[in-house]
Amino acid sequence: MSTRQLGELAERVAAAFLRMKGYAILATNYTFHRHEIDIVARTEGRIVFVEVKCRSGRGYGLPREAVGREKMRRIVRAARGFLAEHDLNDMSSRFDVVEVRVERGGLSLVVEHIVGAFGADGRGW
Amino acid sequence: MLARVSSGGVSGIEGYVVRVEADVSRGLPSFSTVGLGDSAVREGRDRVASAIRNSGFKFPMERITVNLAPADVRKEGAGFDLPIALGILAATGQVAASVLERVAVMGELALDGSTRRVRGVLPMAVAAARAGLTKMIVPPTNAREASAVGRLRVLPAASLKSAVRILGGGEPDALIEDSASRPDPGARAEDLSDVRGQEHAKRALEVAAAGGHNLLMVGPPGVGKTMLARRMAAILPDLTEEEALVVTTVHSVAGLLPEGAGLLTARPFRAPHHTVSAAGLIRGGSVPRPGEVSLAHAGVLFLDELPEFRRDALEALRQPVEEGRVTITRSMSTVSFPSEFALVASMNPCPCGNLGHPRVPCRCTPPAIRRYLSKVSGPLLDRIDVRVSLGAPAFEELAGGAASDDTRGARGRVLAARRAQEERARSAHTDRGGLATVNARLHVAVLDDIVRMSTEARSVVRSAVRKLDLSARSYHKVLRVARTIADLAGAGAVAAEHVSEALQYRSDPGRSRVGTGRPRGS
Repeated sequence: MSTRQLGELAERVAAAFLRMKGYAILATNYTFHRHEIDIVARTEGRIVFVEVKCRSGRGYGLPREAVGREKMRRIVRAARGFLAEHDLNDMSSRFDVVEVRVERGGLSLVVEHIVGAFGADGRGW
Repeated sequence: MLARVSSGGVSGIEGYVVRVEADVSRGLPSFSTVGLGDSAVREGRDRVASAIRNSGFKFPMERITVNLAPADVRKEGAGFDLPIALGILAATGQVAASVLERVAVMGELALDGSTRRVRGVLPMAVAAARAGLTKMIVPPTNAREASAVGRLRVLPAASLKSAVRILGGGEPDALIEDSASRPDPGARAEDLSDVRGQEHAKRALEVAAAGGHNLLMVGPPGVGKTMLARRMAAILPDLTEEEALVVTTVHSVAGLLPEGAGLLTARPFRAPHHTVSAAGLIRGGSVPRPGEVSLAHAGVLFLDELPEFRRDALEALRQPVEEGRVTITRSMSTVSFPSEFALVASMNPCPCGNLGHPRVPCRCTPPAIRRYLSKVSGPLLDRIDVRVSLGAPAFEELAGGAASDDTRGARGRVLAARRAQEERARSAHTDRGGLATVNARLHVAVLDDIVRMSTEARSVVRSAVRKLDLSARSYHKVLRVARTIADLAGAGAVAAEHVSEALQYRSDPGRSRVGTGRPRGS
């Protein structure tokens, strides 16, 4: 399986996971001026922007560690675009990270959901 | 929702009330602090978030805006953590906003929500009381300091959780008191009788203390210059309440108040090392903090080995010595700190220290001596009213029993002399506002009025001016010192003996000593 295929699989897994938790999925792979958000969902009157990260093996550290400053900024920019486009500016919102880890040599997938992973100022929350 | 909390800041040694506004609204989650906070204020965000979570409250995932008003004054330090945290709790309905009215709040937060002490609480408390606030929440180690301002109810809070409980009407936490700041009845104060012999110098010390004169002691090493200087603070009258407030404020702003201390009651004694820079003497940091001269306010600034000090440091002393305060201008602000101290300086007569010693020969060359003495500039020397030479004491003096003159006696005389000066300032010159009470600060314009001399005294001065070639400045200095000596004697008019004694305190380390006690031709 290529890295890309793995990524697509992880996004489907993450969306299914969120749906299971009762989130309504509003959009996947939403792009705004080349800034992309993997999943836009909605729960309890709040818009949630989700970045999905996937890794097989621990060699490169935890997947969530791969969301750097620049990546956060791009996500925030896209989020602002989404809110403006859908006239949702006075909604509360949130940035989450869902990480999908391939473990035991591909025998199991571990999903972890980090609620409120960062703020719009690109810093940890 | 919006919530307001009162807190405080300090500019120079003046406190002012800061209104902390916290607004929590919908939108992308973010936390911004506006209102000219320094990096410690801005970093407070992470401390506040952790402290709120670790105290069992909810940190809102909303758009949080914190404003510190007035917005045009630079604010520094971590003391806004607690008011910001309470503001966020009030804005999210976790604390009733009504309990925050008329309360001043200050304190740094640790990540676990406990409070840490902050600098400058005393002047902030003064400002809070002036602004009509009635209660003040502070960390327990700041409580005694805040209590020095009588009009506020001080509520010590050891943590964010306690602060919320106290605001809701709960009992305040116990304040933490500094055991060292309470007087220890068993302790023995430093006493003048610890110094054997040196009666002449002790007398000079007394004169300097009585009239607020600056003092220079010249003498070989080990004769008791430092010991005498240390005892100067002990023979000065007690701090007045007003002075104690200022002294405590200066130390509070400098962050040098002992943890849990209340009002300082002892006169400060500062003895900066001779490697101190001009900046260290006058002020510290780009945000001005009190320097040594201000920490010595109302007390004693002792400069041991005067010629070893850096030239620029000594020159920087001129303004505080002359004006009793230092003014510091920064791009953002101009502040001024009080610096009315008694300057006590000591120096050796020459680099080896033995010049003038009756038995030990001096090994310095005349140029070396000149170089050494020239390090102390004339203008500075000129501002020292009382100069005295100390010799090596004889064996009999050293081995002799204790106590020739004790501190209590000297203290009593100094106090009486100070009273006489105050009395005079009050009765004769109430119309000249701001007239300094101590003789050392008598203005030339009033000197002749205040220093009434007998006929003999006048003739002694006249011949001295002629014989000693006194400059106008030196002449005025002699008058001031003579007035002090007369005050010590309880005399209304200055007599000849007072003037003669005053003339003795003019020994110039440069002129009078060079050449004596040195075998010719060696």
